[in-house]
Amino acid sequence: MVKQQTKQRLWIAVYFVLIFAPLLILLLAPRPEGRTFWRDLSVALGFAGLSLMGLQFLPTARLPLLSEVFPLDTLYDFHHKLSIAAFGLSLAHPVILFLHNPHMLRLLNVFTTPWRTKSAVIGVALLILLIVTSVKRLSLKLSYETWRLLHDLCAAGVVGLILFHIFKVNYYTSVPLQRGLWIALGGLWAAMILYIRVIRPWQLLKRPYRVVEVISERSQTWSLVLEPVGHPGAPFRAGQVAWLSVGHSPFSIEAHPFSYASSADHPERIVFAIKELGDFTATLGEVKPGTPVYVDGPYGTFDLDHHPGGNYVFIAGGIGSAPIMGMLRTLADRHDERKIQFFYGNRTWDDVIFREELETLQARLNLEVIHVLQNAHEGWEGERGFITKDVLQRRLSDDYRNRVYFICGPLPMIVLVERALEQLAVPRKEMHEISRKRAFEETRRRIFSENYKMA
Amino acid sequence: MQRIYARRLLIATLILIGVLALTFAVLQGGLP
Repeated sequence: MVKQQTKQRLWIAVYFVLIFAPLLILLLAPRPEGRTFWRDLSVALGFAGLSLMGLQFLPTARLPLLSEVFPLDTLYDFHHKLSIAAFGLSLAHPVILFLHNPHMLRLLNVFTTPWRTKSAVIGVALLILLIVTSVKRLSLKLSYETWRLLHDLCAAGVVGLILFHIFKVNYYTSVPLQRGLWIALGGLWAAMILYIRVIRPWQLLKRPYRVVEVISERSQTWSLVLEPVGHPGAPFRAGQVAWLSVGHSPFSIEAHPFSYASSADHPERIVFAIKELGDFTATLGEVKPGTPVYVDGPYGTFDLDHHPGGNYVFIAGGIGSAPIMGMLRTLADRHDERKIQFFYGNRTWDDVIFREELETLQARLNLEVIHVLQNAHEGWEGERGFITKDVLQRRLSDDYRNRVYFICGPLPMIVLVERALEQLAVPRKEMHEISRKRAFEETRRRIFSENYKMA
Repeated sequence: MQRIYARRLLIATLILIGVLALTFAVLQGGLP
């Protein structure tokens, strides 16, 4: 079996080839006469911007080959950062041209400019719309579904229009190797869109699930219990994630990511613990048994089997306990005897989701649960505040440097906890985290950010 | 922690793009 690290290196090599191929061909292949420094610099930056933009279909396509190698968080985080970089490079192309030759500004008039530049102007306008709506979605009060539709349409439009632009200008693409490369890249991007929008939904259609029950948990949280219909259920690893389409066709854009919270030993009855946060989650209580659900998953490397180890430390905040519950339930089913510490941060004692079940799990596992409450009630003798370095230092077992860490919660909590663990000399390679950006978005903004800044 | 590696990869990408683009521009169009 190829090692995880080798696979990661191979993918990074593929990434470099895809990004730098246009620039390397510009440099190494026979090319037409040069123009001016500024014009050629702008072309090179534009080519790099387009190759970066097209590459964005890969990390978010949830290709099993890729999502088995890199953590989902990293893929999405990388997608966000690369998109901003691609945006900057794509803007640098016209800005340099206009600064170098202000007469070219007349090309911005979409009513008079020829199609070769009209496509670029519309493409960049769509790109600006895409970036602004992605970065400012909440401020613009766009629902996740509207944003997602806009995002997908703009992304396909941008790369299509800009490819059209470079072929119409046809200066450096007149070189057969360069032309062939862009045709191949365009084909790859189109294949990704086809996979995301047609092939994968088609596969999901063949293995539906249905809602068995919706259980009300503490802290406005629901356990959505599903069973497969006409198939044995897809195997998953404890801690992984799936995108759920509840009551919608798998071809619709209504899909939301959640962690499996049930035992990985029972794919025939899966549970997702979902807290009421956004538009979709607020309606979960109304979901009726029998409702069809499509489960696009499992995905991710935040799981026990990917990071086997001696003893474990789980750290979660609020609904971040969902994948941890999946891990604990799996370990309990397997009669695992390893030592586990679970630091669980919540606002109040009443907010502690799965509180009673955690007590029974302590009887089935070698498990110590350390509750950390922000607003502890009078008489509370446990830890108070946040999961800080002090709390960890005080409560971690003596062998803590040799344990494997799984951390799940809002991003500010993860940053704080990882920093604390680093100060306690826990090796970085033993820390695995997942932050549910979308799911935590509202809560994070409302509650956690400010509080953790103060902590 | 993978986020840190992702950031480093992004920085390396941007530096390489800058170097390759400038090299190409100098070779093609000469120094500005």
